[in-house]
Amino acid sequence: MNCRQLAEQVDAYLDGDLDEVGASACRGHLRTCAACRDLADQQTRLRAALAELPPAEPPAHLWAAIDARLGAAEIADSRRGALATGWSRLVAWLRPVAWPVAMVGSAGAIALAVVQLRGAAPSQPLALRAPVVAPAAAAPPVRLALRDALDERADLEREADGRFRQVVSELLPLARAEVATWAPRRAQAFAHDLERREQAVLVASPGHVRERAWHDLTSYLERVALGEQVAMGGGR
Amino acid sequence: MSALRALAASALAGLTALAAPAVARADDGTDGDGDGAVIERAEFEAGVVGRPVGEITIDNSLGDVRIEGYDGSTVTVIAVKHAPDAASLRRLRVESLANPDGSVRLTTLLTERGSGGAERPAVALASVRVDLTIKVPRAATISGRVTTGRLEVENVDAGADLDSSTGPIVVRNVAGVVFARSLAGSQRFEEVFGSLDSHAVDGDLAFDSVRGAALTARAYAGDIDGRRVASKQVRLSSISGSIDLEAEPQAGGSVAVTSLRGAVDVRLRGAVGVAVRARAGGRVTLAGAAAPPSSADRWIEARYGARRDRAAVQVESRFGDVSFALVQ
Amino acid sequence: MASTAVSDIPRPRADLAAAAMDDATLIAACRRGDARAMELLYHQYKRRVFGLCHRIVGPVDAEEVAQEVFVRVFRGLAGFRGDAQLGTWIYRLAVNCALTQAGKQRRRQEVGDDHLEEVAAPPVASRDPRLSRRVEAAMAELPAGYRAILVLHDVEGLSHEECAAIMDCRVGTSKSQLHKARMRMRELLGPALAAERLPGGEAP
Repeated sequence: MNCRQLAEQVDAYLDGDLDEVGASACRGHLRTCAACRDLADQQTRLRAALAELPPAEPPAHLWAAIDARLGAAEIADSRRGALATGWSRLVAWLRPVAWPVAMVGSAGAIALAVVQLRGAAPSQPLALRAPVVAPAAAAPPVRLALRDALDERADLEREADGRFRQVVSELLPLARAEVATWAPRRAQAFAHDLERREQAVLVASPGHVRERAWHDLTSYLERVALGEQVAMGGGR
Repeated sequence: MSALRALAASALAGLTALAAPAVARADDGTDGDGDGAVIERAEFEAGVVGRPVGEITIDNSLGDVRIEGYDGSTVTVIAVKHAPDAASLRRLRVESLANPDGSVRLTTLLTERGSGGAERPAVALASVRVDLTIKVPRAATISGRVTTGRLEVENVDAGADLDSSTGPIVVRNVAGVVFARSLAGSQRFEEVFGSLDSHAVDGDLAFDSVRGAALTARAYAGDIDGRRVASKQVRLSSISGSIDLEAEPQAGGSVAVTSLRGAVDVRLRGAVGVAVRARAGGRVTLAGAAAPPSSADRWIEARYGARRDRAAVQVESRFGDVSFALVQ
Repeated sequence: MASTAVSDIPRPRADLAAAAMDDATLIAACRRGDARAMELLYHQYKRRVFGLCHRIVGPVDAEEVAQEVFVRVFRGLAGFRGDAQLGTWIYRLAVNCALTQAGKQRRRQEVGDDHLEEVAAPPVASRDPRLSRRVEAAMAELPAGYRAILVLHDVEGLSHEECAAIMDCRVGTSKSQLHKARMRMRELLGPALAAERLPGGEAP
């Protein structure tokens, strides 16, 4: 067993997923290789650290907030017939979930949910009122469904994704035309490299991490489209 | 208490002691920023006391970032927050994390309106911002990210890795390896001594006085403009933008300039001989004279100057014109 | 105070099957709108659901996402066909909601209180609070998908079979994603993990 093989198997070894022969080979290599012992030590330490993360305690008022949302949703259901046309139009403007959002008063009281929507109607903000039975516990945090800077930022992220998607869709035919002139093996490597980069975009969280993955994908396609010598199966 | 713990603890203590936020109401007349706007300025040091600063990562999606290298050994941050009201101001946060390995991370964020059980009014993105000015030791390696703000880096010696979505990136007097990526933001580099790799989709790229092992610059729709480029391996490409380059080729080096749809204009100066090949779907002009008709798949070749250690030069546009000239 | 609280709380264990006996009764009662049954179900799953949300979307959004998960659970129980364990189904909803939220906005990490120029050490209770904080900071750097599998397997202690059922993927995919996530964590934590190794905590 060499170091590369150990790095691939160290997870399975530490998880106890290897058979006795495989485990023994790992142990043998670890006896003789300090660098891999370090790797295994660090992985062990990482597992311990993850398992020992302090548990996240749900806040005491969580159930009350859920109960209030359920109540509001049921009332919304009962009115859906009357509100149907307006409702489906409004839902698109609510975030992040399409439940009417409640301002909940003191225990046992009836509160009003006022949801103001900017830009939903051509001219002025709309107001939607839905009575909600307040829960008999601490009030959950109030949420007003106005368009906020965070929504605007999410919009910007979507716009960026949209532009990158458009660029990729324009580059793909150019790149494919170039790849059509390649030998089959090389063309296969292209398909693989492309998929790897697309995958990277998909798993990246939004923001600069995803934009980086997009840059990697677009600059790769640019190089292929321009007929540059592209290193296959890896590299920037 | 271990030495490491002591270090980390002293770093935290240092941060806490140095943080000195000062809130000013804009309608006091001191910091005018529109009706009733609130501005808060805080200055603090980041880093672990007694540890050289290694890598510094700055992530600010809420405004500008300006990073200046200096001869000191600590990281000094000036954060200026702008918000339309005090409640919104409290949603703007600057987080600083110093690790005992010398790395420092600064992050700005806008918290949820309802975070911490508070109720805060919605706020327009354009009305809140955080600008960071950071003084860093010259030897620090920079990692900087902005979204719509301006990202400026000046006077550092250990390279930089820069990302922007729509804000401009400006780099001046930097040594070491530099990476830069932007979607629509322009990128400008002056006096870069080291390898430089830059990619933009819609932004323009401009280079002035770049000298290093390699300059790689790619734009999708943006234009590329290069002045006093003296890197050994130069590769500029654009899909639909134009490229204008004035460079000093290096002995044994290469200059490759390609656009798919745009025009390519390359002027070279200096004593090094060059072997040039050019092709274009449009017109090819070589050293001031119209070259024999070319096509997108037929190279025209020419050699100029000294024979030894010639630099390889390639200028190409699939659908546009190319021109190549030697200038003094 | 915090440390006793932590040691008193039994860590959730990976026996989703053990709860199955009562599930059918509980589900039936919840479908009838029995308020006590609903609350019971909530308390049975709240810790792990909130934990998943907290680790995947971060502390700021955890509560909102957890609310959404349970609202979907109760509104979706009528359509729950019992082709999966109730726990698996609930955790799948939780992971999906959390990943959706993580996709909506870059994860933001709470390190201290409202004005975070001053990074105060949060009252974290674990064997080594510094390492916990770094582990959490490193997790925030992971792509959301990696974070999810890491939380399910290494933090919550679920088996690969359970992870695969929750993530709706093959066991092999679950294993390979976890391997990548751990390698990425090691890269992110490198010096921190190594530093921990020194007995007595001598600075390297």
